[in-house]
Amino acid sequence: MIPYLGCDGARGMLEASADGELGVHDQVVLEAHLRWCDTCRARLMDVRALGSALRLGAAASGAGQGRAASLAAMQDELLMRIRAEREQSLPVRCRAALADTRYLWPALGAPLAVVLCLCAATMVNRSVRSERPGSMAAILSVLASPGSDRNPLFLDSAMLAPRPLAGSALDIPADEAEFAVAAVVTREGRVVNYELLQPVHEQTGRPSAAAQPDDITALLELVRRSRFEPALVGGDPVAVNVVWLLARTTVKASAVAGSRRRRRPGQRRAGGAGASPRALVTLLSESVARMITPRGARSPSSASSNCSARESGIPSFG
Amino acid sequence: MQSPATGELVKNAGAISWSHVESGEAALIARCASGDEAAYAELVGAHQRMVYGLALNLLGDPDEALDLSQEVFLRVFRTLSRFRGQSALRTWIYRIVINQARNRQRWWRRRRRGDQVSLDEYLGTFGDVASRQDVLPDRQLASKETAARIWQALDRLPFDQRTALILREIDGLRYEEIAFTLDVAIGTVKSRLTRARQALRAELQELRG
Repeated sequence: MIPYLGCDGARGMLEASADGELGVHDQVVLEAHLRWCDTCRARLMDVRALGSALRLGAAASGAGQGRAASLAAMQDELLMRIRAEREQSLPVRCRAALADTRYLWPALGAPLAVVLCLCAATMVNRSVRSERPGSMAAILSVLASPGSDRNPLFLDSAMLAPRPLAGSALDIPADEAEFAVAAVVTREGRVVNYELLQPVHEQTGRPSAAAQPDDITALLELVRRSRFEPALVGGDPVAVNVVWLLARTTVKASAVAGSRRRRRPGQRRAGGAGASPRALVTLLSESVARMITPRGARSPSSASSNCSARESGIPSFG
Repeated sequence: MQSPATGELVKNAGAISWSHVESGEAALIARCASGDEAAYAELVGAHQRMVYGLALNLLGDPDEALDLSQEVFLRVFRTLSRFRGQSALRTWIYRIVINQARNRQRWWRRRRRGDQVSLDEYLGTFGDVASRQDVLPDRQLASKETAARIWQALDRLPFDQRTALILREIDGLRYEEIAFTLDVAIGTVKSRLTRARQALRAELQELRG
């Protein structure tokens, strides 16, 4: 008994049937369906008609009169090309080249020489291109970037001077001493390239040796660790050269006649009559910082902030 | 594997062995691989019409088809040593033709039917289509106008659909061979054929009014 097949199932088999790809069983089922279904039969006829039209058009397009001659010519040309290709193939050429060894070593030596030359040229080029710190290129590079850490500026009136950061006050290890430190305050606010300027005795003109070596070492360590807000030009940080004057000065006040208590008439003296006024002597021993600024340079903050007690280090700019 | 409902064949296109290559063909291949020029000529003579016809149907230009045929055979001879009998030699050559034609179409847009011989000229040369053996019994429908319109519609199809339909209808390849030639699954071949035929059937119905 042949199973029933609907139109949906039949349509899935139509093309395979037209192409001869349908199995025997499915072909029998499909033909049973096509006996009563005009729609599917028409579809199958359409598929076959399309194939006929395509074959007809292909036969017409390939029916040029010169086709046989063209194909024969193509075959001859093709065989010639194959023969030439075989003759010029790499193994054949290698065998021919190796047959005469007189050309072997020049053929190997020339590429080797070229490779060596290229290597040498590359090495020379790389050595030339690497920039040395003392080279003219490096110097020009530094000069081309004023305000960098390698090319610091000198302070002028258009700059905002560096300011010591809060909490970076120095405690000078020696008493009654003055130090001058030449340094560079970088864009990041660090102090680099610092150098202690030897104090000079005013009368003799010779370097004074007031400070002890230990004090100087401790001072330079403090200088190294100090931090600043960098100098600003137009809002941009720049590195600047500074001379930092550090001083510890003891100020002794003379005996001061203390202010005497004045009593109002009728007021009783506290502590009893005859108490002598107490003389007040104040001994001040503080570090005083001074800041020497060039004419016209803008101070970064009010003067009071530079002269606060125990603040002992303020840069000086020459 | 066969589906009971539809009888659909699900085959692996790559699972073809040396058994697909006839003994005479295998000997011809061996002679070509050894550099026998007579074998070259024999192989070209056996397949050049097929190669040229497929190239002409794909490209539509006789000169381009000849040029492509040469390139195909050169490639065949260069790569024949790598042929492992995974298909019939004819199918393997078809694959090369398709790949070469696809590469060429990327650079050269098709100038379809510019040099095509008219159907009247063809009929005058070769007689009525009814005398041809490859014309099916429904030849009444396949008039020259119908064929021309169908080929125009074929030109507008995507390359893959057009190739599958040409391989099936004109070259008569089986689904399995088309799948190997196009390097796709058999299901993909069926879907491409269905979509191509749907487009051409719409053209056919429009032609009938």
